[in-house]
Amino acid sequence: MPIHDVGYRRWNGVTTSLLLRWLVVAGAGIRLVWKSHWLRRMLFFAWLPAAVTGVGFFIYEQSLERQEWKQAIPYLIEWYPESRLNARSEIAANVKRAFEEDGKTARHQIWSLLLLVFFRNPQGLLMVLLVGMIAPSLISLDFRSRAYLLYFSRPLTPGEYILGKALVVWTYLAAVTTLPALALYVLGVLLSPDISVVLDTWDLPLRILLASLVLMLPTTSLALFFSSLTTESRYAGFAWFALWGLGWAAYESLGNFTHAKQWSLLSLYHVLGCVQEWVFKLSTFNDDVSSAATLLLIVTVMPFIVLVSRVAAPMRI
Amino acid sequence: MTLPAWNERSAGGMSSTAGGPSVRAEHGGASADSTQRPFIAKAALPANVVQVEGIVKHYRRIKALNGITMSIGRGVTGLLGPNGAGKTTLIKVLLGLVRVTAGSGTVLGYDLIRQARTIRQHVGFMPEDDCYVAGLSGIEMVQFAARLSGLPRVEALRRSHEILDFCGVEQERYRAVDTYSTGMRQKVKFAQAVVHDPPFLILDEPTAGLDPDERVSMLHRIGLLAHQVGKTVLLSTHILPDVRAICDTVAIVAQGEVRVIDSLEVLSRPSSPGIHVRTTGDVGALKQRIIAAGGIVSDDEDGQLRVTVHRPNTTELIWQWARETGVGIRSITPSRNSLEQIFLDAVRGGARADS
Repeated sequence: MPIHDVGYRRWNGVTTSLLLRWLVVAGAGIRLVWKSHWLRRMLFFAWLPAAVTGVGFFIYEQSLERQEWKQAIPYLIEWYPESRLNARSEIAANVKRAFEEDGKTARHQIWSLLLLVFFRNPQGLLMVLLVGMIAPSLISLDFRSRAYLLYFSRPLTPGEYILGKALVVWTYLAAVTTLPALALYVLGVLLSPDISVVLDTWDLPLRILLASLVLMLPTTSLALFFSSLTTESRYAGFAWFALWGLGWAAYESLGNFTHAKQWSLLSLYHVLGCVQEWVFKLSTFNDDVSSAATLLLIVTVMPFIVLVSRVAAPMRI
Repeated sequence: MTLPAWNERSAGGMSSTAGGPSVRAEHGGASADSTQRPFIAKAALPANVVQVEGIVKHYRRIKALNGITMSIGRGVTGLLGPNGAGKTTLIKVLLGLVRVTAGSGTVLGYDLIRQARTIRQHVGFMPEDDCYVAGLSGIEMVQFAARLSGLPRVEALRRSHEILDFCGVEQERYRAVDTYSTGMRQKVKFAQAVVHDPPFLILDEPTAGLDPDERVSMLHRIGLLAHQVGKTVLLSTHILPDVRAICDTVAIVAQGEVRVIDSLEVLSRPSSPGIHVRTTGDVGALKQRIIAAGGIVSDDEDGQLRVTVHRPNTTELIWQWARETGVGIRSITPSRNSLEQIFLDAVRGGARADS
């Protein structure tokens, strides 16, 4: 028996805006995901690559002051994982050339490369693991427990529901990519000799945001699409990991065997890398980038259309 | 049962039965401001909370609703019908969740098609299916539902505790909903439907899976909300005793059509006054005696006599005539329509029953 049994009382307060209800979906999703101990551990370790990349910023800034540190720069450049055949050698050659010509004016390129390295490395493992842990259950569990009846009997549209669920994934992706990358930029500024470097590198935070969007939109669309196809989240998780694993393996085997770079389109990891190189201004908008961007657009839009249809489907019958 | 006027504020401290759920004065939390409140003021509620006309819904070749025209007034309306009759589709139409093939209507004065979102803001829906957000505790789920309906975070938590108290959910509210029994889930589903204090409740099988005690409590809560707080309730159920217990109006749907809609009082009233007499022995003489006295006698299907005598003290007269003719009487009961018979007749497409 409750201590203060007040019975049924009318409620006469002010309600929040109808347009912001999707934030409630997102908030509940973020809190539910946060309950996972494994996820919290992963997020803790997710900033380790940022620390390593921070060392790169330190080495570069030291190399401008001390001659002996310059020897380390080629190793830094070699960190970069290849996005397609010969891409590493092309980009590395350009950056090396720029650094040898004038170390200070090469700052933008070096910082861009270091940020891209950071994006590519956590992206390659952490992002796939993180999204694979979060996204598969986001919609499939709602289908399984028929929670959609709870959502859609309220003033909430399927589009807002999807937006709320997507924000859950975006929040955690931002926590392991965008935020550390922005922190790295700030670290770079703090390590540099004077604040004037901001004038040379002011566009990098914007490029970080754009690279994050390139990463988040297709991956979230795909992951939620898989989640919406089944009531068993493990199947959605399996499909997610299979997509990345098989794509990567297919590119590695076919690309190395045939020495044709178009096979990189088989691997979403390499496709993302190709577009992000362009975002960080390390390559020009060539045919490879165009093909990769088109593929990413398809990978974003097509699953999204199916996702909307799947989410709205239970209410149609 | 007399229903309170809708513009009448629920009295503070008004209580139902001892120990049962009760109703208290209005509360709006710390930020209460009735002038900004988007919910419908009770005085502004239309007399017909639901008014639909010619609603047709096709699922490809299947006609789920076939020109439904009905209006639902205040109080509790029981929505009856066999499986596949179109009840759930009708509920989805009222919530604006499915697009109708033809027809129009209003719920709480809002257009069914153009203002579906606003309708859902003002309606509380308790689905028949088990539905919960996996991983949330009972209190978190009700708070979540309240926030989806627009209650601020802290206010939603306070209100959720209050409603769970009202629904008889005690410390179990801190356990994950996944671990709840069917009865507990029913109570939490009911709580999430009323947490935002909607003027119109749609309850789909609210007593399914409840033990007899809990069933009575649930019906009591529904009755209290309808008759003391002034909410309109649409109760979809297969359990006819539940309908008899709390409904003011009954709508019977079959094959996508509304076959019967009227107040329970009217439906229960026999089409002509009369009594049923169960006898032993030869009833011929008794029949003749009744006819000679100006009465009307007919045989029912189950072997009873249906007697109509337009005189006072009919029962005493029948006893007297039975003594005179040497006929034994086993029972005398006033004739009344049974809801079961009305339901069966309506579903079969027959006329109103009068047993």
